[in-house]
Amino acid sequence: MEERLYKEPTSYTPKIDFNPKKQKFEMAGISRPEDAYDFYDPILLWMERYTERVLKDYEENKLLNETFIMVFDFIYMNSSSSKYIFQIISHLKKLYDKRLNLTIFWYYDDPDDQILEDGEDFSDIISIPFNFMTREQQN
Amino acid sequence: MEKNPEIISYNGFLSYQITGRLIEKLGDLSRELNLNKSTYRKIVTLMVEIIENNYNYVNRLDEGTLRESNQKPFFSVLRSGDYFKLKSGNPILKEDAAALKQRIEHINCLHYRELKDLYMNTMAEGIYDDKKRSGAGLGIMKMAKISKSKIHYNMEKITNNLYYYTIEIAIPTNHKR
Repeated sequence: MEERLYKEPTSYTPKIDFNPKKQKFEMAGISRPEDAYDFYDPILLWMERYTERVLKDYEENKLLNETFIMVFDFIYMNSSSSKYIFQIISHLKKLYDKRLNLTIFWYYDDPDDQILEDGEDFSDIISIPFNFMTREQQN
Repeated sequence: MEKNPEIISYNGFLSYQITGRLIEKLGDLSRELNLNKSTYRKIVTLMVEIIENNYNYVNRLDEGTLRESNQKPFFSVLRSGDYFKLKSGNPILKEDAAALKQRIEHINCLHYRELKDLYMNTMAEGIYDDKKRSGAGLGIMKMAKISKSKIHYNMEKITNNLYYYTIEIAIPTNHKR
């Protein structure tokens, strides 16, 4: 099994907590890394390997838990980050397409929050319904 | 008459670190400006896109070309009536200016739904442009999408190889979706 991927948040980069044991993945904070490729490429690789392994386990009837949770709790993100976040969701979509139980939570503050629109765009283009929730609902 | 409409003003070469300082400054001023959280975040998102756009084009100029330009980059945010206006200017290579002009003209012709579709399709095309650092125009599309208005811009010739590019994005002071 993959090791947990954890990155502390900074003023420019989000917290990353991908926990394969719990099958729960979280990204939270601000995303405007100085170099989006440098920051996101290892995260993308991790997710690609992880989903490949899960699908292999599934095909071989070795998957013990078919529930996966992805939590996005962004304050804002730049357009370079959006492309990588889209790719992360694309990898997770492979699980959704196999009818595994994938739930995506997307947090925002109020209906005028730009981050809500960003989440709706992702949900539209990837064709997976997101659970949009206010941060008040989170607490 | 409006008292000092200028909220943020920076003259000189912009960078990733300076963007952070300008965002902090806007944060410090947000109470004084009576900015609600969503408008503040929209301005910050626009600032990030505009400033990255600015220094990405400047970073493509070599030292010799930069010396030819006596016009330095700038960025400002000001209040004008019921709008915040974000303005930016920078020297840009002639070849980049032509491509950028074409891109902005195309975006300005689109209705909001068409713009949204183009934005999402470009995002889905992948991450290869980032490696080339040429950009696919996602930042410009995001600016137009957030402001929901046409992008005002100008390209002024400096030398045979260099133009000065200015861009202005407006956002209502009490922005609603």
